[in-house]
Amino acid sequence: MNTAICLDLDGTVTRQEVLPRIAKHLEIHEEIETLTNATIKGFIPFESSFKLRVRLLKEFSAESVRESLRSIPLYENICELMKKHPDNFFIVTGNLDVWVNELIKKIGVQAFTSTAKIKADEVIGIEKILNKADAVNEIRKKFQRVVAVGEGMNDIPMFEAADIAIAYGATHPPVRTALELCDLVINNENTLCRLLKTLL
Amino acid sequence: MQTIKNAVIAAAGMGKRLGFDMPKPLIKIHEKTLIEYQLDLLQEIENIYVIVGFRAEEMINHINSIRKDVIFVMNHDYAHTSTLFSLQLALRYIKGPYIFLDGDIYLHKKEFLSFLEKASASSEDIIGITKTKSEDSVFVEMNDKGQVIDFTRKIKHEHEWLGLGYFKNVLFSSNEKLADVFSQLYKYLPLNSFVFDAYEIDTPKDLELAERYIT
Repeated sequence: MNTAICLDLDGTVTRQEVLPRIAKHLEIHEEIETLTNATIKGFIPFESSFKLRVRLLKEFSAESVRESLRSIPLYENICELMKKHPDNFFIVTGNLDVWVNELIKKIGVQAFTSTAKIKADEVIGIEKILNKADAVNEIRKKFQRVVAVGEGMNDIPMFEAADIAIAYGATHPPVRTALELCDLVINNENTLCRLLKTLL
Repeated sequence: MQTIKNAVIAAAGMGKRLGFDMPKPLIKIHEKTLIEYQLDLLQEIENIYVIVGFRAEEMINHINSIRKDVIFVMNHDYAHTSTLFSLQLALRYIKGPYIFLDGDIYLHKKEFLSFLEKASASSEDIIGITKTKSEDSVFVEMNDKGQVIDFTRKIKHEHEWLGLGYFKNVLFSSNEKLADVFSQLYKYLPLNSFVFDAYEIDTPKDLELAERYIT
């Protein structure tokens, strides 16, 4: 069976959340954190929160954002596995293309991201926020089976559209909704790699 | 001789007969939970699959506090499905022979390790049985070679099926009429067996017995 594996970026491929790291680098940590907490607690839906966070980051160049991600720690074994099977792996992330493309290129797989409106390397707005289910449905055209790995609220549409949903809690515990909808829960990097190998 | 790489623990159920309002694997016998004892038996096995359902989050947190690298298979429909259904969910991800263990049994480690040794040298399936302790069981009839030749609920035999096995050749199918693990084993009879001095914790009386005899 030919199988595609879709991985969330934040906390699944990277050991740290992308946005808080950018925020720290640009010294707007407090503002972003407030928004992140309100989102995690469910006071603000993901999309509105994302728009607000993008707005906060607007005053910085896309390059300064990319720079903050250059040394973000990654789950090396997962990255290695992805590099071995570049045709089967996809990173599916709500982050903006201009921020994460360089990182994704370094990992060397295909990706679906949200897209930014850009003018001279400045983000002037959001073109489209990725619905992760759309990514899965697009990938499904070429694969018989789609596996999704993630842990946050924005992974839920991806979980619902995939054939096998894996809640991955190595960085932080999966949200309850993910636990309710997933087929497997794995909280360890090497275990995830071993399991994914059996599905390829 | 080959190393057994996979073990499956069926731990999704509600344990209604025990009446504790908590999953049976979380029941404590002398300060340690039942699942803690089971994970201790499986220390040398690489891939551990635990099927969880009833109070899954609690189960996951507890198990991860003992062993981080467990794969949890979710049975969201735990209230309306059988152990066989749970096992089949896990088998979607398992390649090769495996140990199957019901989440409500206590086994002595030394005995379990000799079972593992026997299993890893065996090219055939082996099922775990124990001396009959209760009325409400699946009894097994044996031949003089120590093989199981029948399962029955009607006639009380000297031994009962323990909800444990080493499966290498057996294939479980989704036949609605054969909804129990043992009922799918009929067509593979006779099956080799291994006699355990085990405790199956189904009722408060079982638990009392276990607490008395396990030291």
